[in-house]
Amino acid sequence: MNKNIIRGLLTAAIAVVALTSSIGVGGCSVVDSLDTFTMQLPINMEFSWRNRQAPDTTVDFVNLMDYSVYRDNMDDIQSAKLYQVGYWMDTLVGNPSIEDAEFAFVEFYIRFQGEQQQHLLGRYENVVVKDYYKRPHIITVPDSIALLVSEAVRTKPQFDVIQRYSLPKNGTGFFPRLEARVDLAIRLEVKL
Amino acid sequence: MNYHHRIAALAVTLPLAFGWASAQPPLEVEREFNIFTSQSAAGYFKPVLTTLQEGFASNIYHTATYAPNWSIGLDLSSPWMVIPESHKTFSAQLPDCYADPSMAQTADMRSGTTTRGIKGTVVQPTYYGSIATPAFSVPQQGTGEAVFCKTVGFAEGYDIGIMPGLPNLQLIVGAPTRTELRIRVVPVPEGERSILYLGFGLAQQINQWMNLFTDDPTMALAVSTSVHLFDWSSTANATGFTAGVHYSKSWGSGLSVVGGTQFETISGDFTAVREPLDPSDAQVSAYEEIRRNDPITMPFESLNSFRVTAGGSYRAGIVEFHLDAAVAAQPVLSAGITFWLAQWGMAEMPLPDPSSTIKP
Repeated sequence: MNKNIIRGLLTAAIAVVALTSSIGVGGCSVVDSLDTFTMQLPINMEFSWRNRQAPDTTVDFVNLMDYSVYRDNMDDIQSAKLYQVGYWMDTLVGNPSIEDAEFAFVEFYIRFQGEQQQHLLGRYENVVVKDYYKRPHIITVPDSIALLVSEAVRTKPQFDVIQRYSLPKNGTGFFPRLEARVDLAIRLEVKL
Repeated sequence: MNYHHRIAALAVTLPLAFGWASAQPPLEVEREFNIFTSQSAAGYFKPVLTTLQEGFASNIYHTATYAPNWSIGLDLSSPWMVIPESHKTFSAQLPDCYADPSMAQTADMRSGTTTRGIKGTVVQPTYYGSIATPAFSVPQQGTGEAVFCKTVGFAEGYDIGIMPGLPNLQLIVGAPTRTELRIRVVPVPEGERSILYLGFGLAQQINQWMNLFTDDPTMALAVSTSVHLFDWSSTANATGFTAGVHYSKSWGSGLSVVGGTQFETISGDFTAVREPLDPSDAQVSAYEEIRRNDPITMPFESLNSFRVTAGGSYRAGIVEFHLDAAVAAQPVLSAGITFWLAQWGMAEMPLPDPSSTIKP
């Protein structure tokens, strides 16, 4: 009987270590993964042209501090990966008109405050304006760009988004008024 | 309690359960967490609540043979739930205005394919899922409700394939009526609030009343039931029940196997109020519920209601190891160890039939 109890205790000790280890190793890996929370932050931007001649460039300043989710968690942001970009036109007045206008490309770049370098976020090709009129067109940002932006956004919440229009395929390319919008969907990972 | 604690309370301690001090006001969710509506919170967290429920409904028994004596034991078990693919996504409700093309033109992009005119619900990850897909929306009017019909984002998941439940530390009391009572008390301090889980399991061997296995004492049939109570400081409460029947076969070597079925349920609710919106915030939601600052309310429900369990145990002296697996909405793997601290009033137990023991 005593021999059985001793054998049981020894076996129990081994089992407790094994069980605890399995809970510790497996459990910690799961629990560790739960110490951050990732949510998507949509950022709305507006671009406005007045009396401009394509090809041309327009710049919109973005300050993430305007967004409470960023502002209140700035110190705990683990990453801020740009995931998708949605683009559309709200207004186009000029030559060519909305019905006829087509741009070979529209490109978007990001430039962080205090830097000269521009990073390409995305490029829309063969932009038929009537298809883009108040209809979102989405591109997924390549991982390499997303990571680059993520690293910068963590420390530089102010940046310019630069929009470049090609010469339209027809017409003079002079636009008294052109308004477009871009929504950036940022995957914001915050430490809990 | 700061934002991090609140998020942590929702996203991390939800699997751990609920609180105690009912005098506390409901949990306040800061505006940063305004990505959730009540509907999306329910869909996002329901698989987690299922994990929680299944964990509590595990380790109610590991044999059907209960000795006709008094006994006291301490059991530590760890249930792990395997998360099926179907629990990694849910149908998330889009803003109401998305359904009206005169108010919003919508689209999303998945795997390089754009889908236009999204409305109603779209598939998004649960807590166990992976990357979410934003829903892009272009307001078609510059005034009125349409101006709110903007792009919305969603909470992302943690890409989890297997999730531990709360370890079951339970006191076991056996009675000469071949009855076993299991008691669990798990208080979890959580900032200003505390979380308490109480569990009570009762199992009764019944084959002796039915003249079953009278010539083979190594086999037994038993029924079990359990009740589980959770409370989280005026924020969430839930009550769970299980009821089932199980059979076991034992050998003189200390080995036994068990199989059983069990119905289980849980019901309750969760309420959290939202922190008032910041008028200067550029982030204005397309969801009317969020703009109105309505509280987040969701039912405490499980996706599981039935399980079939098979397992085995091995007893050596005062120690008993047990391992079982269950088919359920989230399949369960569970292992544990029981220390039989005391037994008295031992009745003469019939020896197992030598012919039934395993021989090499």
